[in-house]
Amino acid sequence: MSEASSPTAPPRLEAIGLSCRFGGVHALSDVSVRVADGQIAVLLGPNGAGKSVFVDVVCGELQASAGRVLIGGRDLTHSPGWRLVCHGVARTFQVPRPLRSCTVWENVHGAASRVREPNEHHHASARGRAEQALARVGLLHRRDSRPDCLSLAELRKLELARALALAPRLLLLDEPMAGLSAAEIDDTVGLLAELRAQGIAILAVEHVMQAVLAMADVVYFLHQGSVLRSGPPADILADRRVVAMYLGVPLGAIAG
Amino acid sequence: MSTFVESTLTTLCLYVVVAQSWNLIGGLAGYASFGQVAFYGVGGYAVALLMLDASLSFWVALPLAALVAGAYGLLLGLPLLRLRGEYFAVATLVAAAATQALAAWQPAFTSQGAGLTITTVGTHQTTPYLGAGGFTLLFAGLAAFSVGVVAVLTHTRLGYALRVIRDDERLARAVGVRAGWTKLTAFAVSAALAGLAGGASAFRLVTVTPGQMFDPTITVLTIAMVVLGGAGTVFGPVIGAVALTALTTAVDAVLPSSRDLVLALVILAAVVFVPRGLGRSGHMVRLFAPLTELRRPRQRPLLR
Repeated sequence: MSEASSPTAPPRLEAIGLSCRFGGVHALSDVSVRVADGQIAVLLGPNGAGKSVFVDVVCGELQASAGRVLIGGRDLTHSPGWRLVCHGVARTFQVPRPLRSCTVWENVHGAASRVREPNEHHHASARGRAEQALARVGLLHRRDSRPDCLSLAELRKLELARALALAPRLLLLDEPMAGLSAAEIDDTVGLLAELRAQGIAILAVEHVMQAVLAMADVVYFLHQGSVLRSGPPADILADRRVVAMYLGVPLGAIAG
Repeated sequence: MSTFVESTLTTLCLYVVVAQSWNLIGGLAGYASFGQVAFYGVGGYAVALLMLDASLSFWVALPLAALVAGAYGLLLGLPLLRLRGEYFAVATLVAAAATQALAAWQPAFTSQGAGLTITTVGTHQTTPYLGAGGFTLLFAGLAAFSVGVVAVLTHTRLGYALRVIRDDERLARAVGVRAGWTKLTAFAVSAALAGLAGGASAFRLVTVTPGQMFDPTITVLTIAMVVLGGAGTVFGPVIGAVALTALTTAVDAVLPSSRDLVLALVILAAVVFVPRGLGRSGHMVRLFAPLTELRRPRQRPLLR
């Protein structure tokens, strides 16, 4: 939070007027999003609103047709995905993508070995970071299991641990709570709050309202590829247009 | 040792080197190359030409030949590694055939079809011929080296990068793996290993011809060995090379005319019954698990 309050520091993520087009379909048009260090921003919106596309554009998986992506003030709009990892960007996937031929430990340690932190002995730091990441999400006891033996909740934890092993400054989470039980959601919310307290910037795509209300500092409501509204979660959910879009109630029915 | 035992051992070790070379790109990175013999041939020709035209010692020519083959791997890999799966397989197959055609077309490479003959006797010889025992030792050393290369690579960050590329290239980008560069490195190292095998073979054969140095059977036999033994493991290709060399030697002794038929049946059976390779199946797993599986920290600190 201290870094976020510093007036001179550029935001961890600043997307300016991002657009992404597939032929005639505008998956994203003119989307601007800011996430500061130690802040949790949530992307909300109905299916097909462009939330996952936004995440993919930010981390270089999809090409922006217009607009810019600044990471910590540095323009990385057209950088390939692998390079963003060097700039402290890590992501999780909506559908967990573990390496099924590897154990939990190999999945996380392998990722940790991709990042070098200065002034540290390489093997020691990768191993330490992997262990820390697994302990953090509470998966250390499953280190020798294969991903096929894990529950969905554990697979989501593995996704998160793999991202944390990359020593990120910005975490992009694509539906980290989907399919989890209420208790598991509370755990994840607590974990993300801890990461925020460490100064990590988090951008999450999330549908689970309980989680959004509990953790979000700012919510961006996307509809048909553009930001309809942004602000604190309570304000967004009080917006009649947002409720109508989300629940699919015709506008007239509410107005009346 | 009898000459028969020595020559069989030499052939076995030769195949271990080529199998490990294929294992790097086909097993670890998941890019099944059907043109591995191209690098074997380039290595062979490099040794022959360097010893003949540059009058270099074999011991200098061999590492240089590995470098030349590696460079040729970079050259071919640059365009070909953009392809995947069967497209990559077909493209490498064609590239190997084209390389053979180039070697056959260039008069300096073939001395008008008679083949290049490395001088091994008289005052012009650069290195005395090693003899059967010498070659067995040389190839055993190269085989150990190739196993070492694969074992070390498996346990480095490059090994992890290759596994992610093989299983999920999208995930590879998300964990910071520069897929294009990583594949190219693996392909070049794999080509250099094949070049090493080809270079040593050229000296052993004395006379090299395009038909011999670029024989597609070498590629096929190699792939069969790796798949039979367990692609992507450290010792699987060794198991496969031993099994197939033993089999071909036995069949040659008993039913020489049916060699290809028996080989084909065995490979078919292997693919159906042990699709993940001998090094990974049933009781063999328990025997070889500490060697073939990735090291698991804390549990079994066998290596390092």
